[in-house]
Amino acid sequence: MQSRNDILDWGKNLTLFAASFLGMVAIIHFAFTSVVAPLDLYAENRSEKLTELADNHEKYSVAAVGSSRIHSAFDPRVFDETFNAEQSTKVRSVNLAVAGGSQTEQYAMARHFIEHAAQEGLPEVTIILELSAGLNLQNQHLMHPRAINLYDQAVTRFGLEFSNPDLGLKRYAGRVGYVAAAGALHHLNVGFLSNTVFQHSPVKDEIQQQFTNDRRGFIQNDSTEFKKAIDARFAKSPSSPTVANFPMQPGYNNLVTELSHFASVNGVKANFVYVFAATLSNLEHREDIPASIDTEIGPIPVVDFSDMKELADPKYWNDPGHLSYAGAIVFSRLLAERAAALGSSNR
Amino acid sequence: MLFVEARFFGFFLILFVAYWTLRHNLQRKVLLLAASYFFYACWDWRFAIMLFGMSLCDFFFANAIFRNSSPKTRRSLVICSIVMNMGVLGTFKYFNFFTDSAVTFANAFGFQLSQFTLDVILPVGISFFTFQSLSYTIDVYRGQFKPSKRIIDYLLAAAFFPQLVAGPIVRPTFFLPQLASARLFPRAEIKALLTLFLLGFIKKACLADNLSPYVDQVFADPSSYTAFSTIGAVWLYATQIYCDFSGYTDMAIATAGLLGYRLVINFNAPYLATSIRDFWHRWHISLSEWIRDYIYISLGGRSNVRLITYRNLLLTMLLGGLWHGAAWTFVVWGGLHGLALVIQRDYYRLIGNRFTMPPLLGWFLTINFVCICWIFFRSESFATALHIASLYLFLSPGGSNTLPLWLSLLPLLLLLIQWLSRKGNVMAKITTLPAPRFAVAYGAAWAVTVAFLPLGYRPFIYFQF
Repeated sequence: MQSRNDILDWGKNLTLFAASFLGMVAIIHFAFTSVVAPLDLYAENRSEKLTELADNHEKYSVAAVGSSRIHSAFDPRVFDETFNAEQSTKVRSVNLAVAGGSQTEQYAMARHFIEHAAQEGLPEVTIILELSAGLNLQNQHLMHPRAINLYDQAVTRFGLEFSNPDLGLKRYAGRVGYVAAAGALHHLNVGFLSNTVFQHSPVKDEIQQQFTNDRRGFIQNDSTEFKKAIDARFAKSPSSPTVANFPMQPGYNNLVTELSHFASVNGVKANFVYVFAATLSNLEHREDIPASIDTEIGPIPVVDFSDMKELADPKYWNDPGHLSYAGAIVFSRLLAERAAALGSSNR
Repeated sequence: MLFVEARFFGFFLILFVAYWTLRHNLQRKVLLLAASYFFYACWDWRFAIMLFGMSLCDFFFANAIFRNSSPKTRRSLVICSIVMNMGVLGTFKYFNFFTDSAVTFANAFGFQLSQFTLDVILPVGISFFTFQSLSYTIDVYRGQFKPSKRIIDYLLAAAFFPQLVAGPIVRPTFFLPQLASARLFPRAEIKALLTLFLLGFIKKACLADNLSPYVDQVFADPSSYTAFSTIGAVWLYATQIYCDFSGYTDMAIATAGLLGYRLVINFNAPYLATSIRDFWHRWHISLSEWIRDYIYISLGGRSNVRLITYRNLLLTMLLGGLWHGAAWTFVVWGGLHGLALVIQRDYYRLIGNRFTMPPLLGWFLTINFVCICWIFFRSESFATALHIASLYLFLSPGGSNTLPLWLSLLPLLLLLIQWLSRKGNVMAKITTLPAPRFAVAYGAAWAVTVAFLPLGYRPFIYFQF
């Protein structure tokens, strides 16, 4: 392994290996994105909301996207009833939030909703975005189908907008690294053949149940353990929580700008509202959420629930992170009232 | 850190380059030792400390046994080693099992005992490295091996990362001599080792992990599946556990080989076995040899009294079952295999050369028996195991859910591929390819493999042992 010829041979063979690997990846990726089967947003378990959206051809004019906090909190029936009572223009809303949803995920879901609206011939829609959705930049999420399937070029680029040097070198490098890795795994076609050959959707029935009765949301878990945790949180909560600054990221601005542009390209006018969902940790700590976020298309109003004014009652909580059905009614009614009052519009 | 994780590739690449850059054997051993402890500490640093402590104790026990001429002292020392290793294994792995069983047994007789459980995490690979250590001190006690005087050699033999957490059970007596001199770069074997690693990766990551959800679905609710689908799921589990375990072993052997070390072969196409005895010469070979040498022979082994031989065989297999897990279903699994071995012995004794079992019939009976035993191995409870076994044997009606037909036939197809590739000596043909052609084929094969990775990791089944 020491002679010059040996080193050259090694170099040549490693180059051939790398070229062959990347070449075959390109062939598989092209074949599966363009020819055999389009890549789904989610490889397993999570496509059901989009499937229901596509199958039932409802003309939804409002969509709530985000994480499980919105998935459990947003009741379209209550929202529609409250909003329509105060507005002449009637809305029909849908809950497209997904448990474990991240900022990149809501970006991708919102894009799908805009495409759906365009197909259904809707000229104008409102999208309720979750400001409190996390980024899910952890190892277990990296190898989740949602991470791999989401991170096409647009989503990868968007994901990078949640990292900047102000976060400190470690966090900055970590976020950039994660997003780059997720994008690389997407384009390396990790898991696509596997999910095409070995298909299993064990929770399809569960998601379909959640779409029955027009609920389109979270099904309650009655758990003694959760109840104890909720009671404990309320018992130890201080009279007023500590307040910290809310860390703004360019991504919050760019999310709206990009979605607005995407909607415009699809012939749809999109309006936006940001919502900051509460959890029981807000009884002890909260952030100073701005009333609106300045974007390139104008200020986007923020409906902040983390002040817990209306939700500080154990019966409104299913578990420390998610509202119960009673809480969802309150949340949805209040959100509709505030959206109606705001006009929920942008230029 | 799993072999199929991206970070392992980064870890091994750095280690490989650093290892072969170093010239001196001692430097390489120190590097490997540090890397092995780092690898294990990635699971939990406390267990790395425990491993170090146990290895240190066994090193001194072995040398003390060797230096001592008094049979009583030697015996006391080896008992200390056995008690230490079995004590650690028993505490972490079997404490709750035995206390639960004692409470259940007492309750059955009307005595109410209070439950006492130990809330501990099971150290990864504990069953493997305790057995490795035990084989060392016992072999020294038996006078079969001279202990190593170099502590670094023994520590490395005990902690060598490729085989530390899920085998094969590499006895220090096999491994230590390899540490005596600097290893040569495996130029001639490199294609075979790289191919073996890829094969192991495919078996574990692409086959075992993709089949797991289907098996889980059926075993979670067998009454909702048809009998044929249940049989299909059992065959899928047989495929899953083989691919998972042998896949890991292949990667372990390849990884060790790339560092210049040989490990023992652990699998030899076990589902092509034509008898139960043949199966145990092909499945988890390192374990079956270990329990033969240290349990079966210690019990007396093959005796002139037939019933004692059978007793020894049955006890050995029962303990072998218990080794796999702290649950009675594992014991029953071992017991069934023990019973089959006893019956086979009797068959040869009674029938002998009067009727030679046709290989195909022998294979059919063996594979089905092994699959029925896997039902007990996989099931969470006896009720589930007996229900699935009855579906398997009697094709009972009921259930409406089905698995895709192609999936149920996949195990047979994979077995056929294995048989054909062995007949056609495919591995030898791959390794004789010129290096550039091998590089191109290898790169393309890895690309297809990556595209078949399931999204989300599942731990190796044998890690729980």
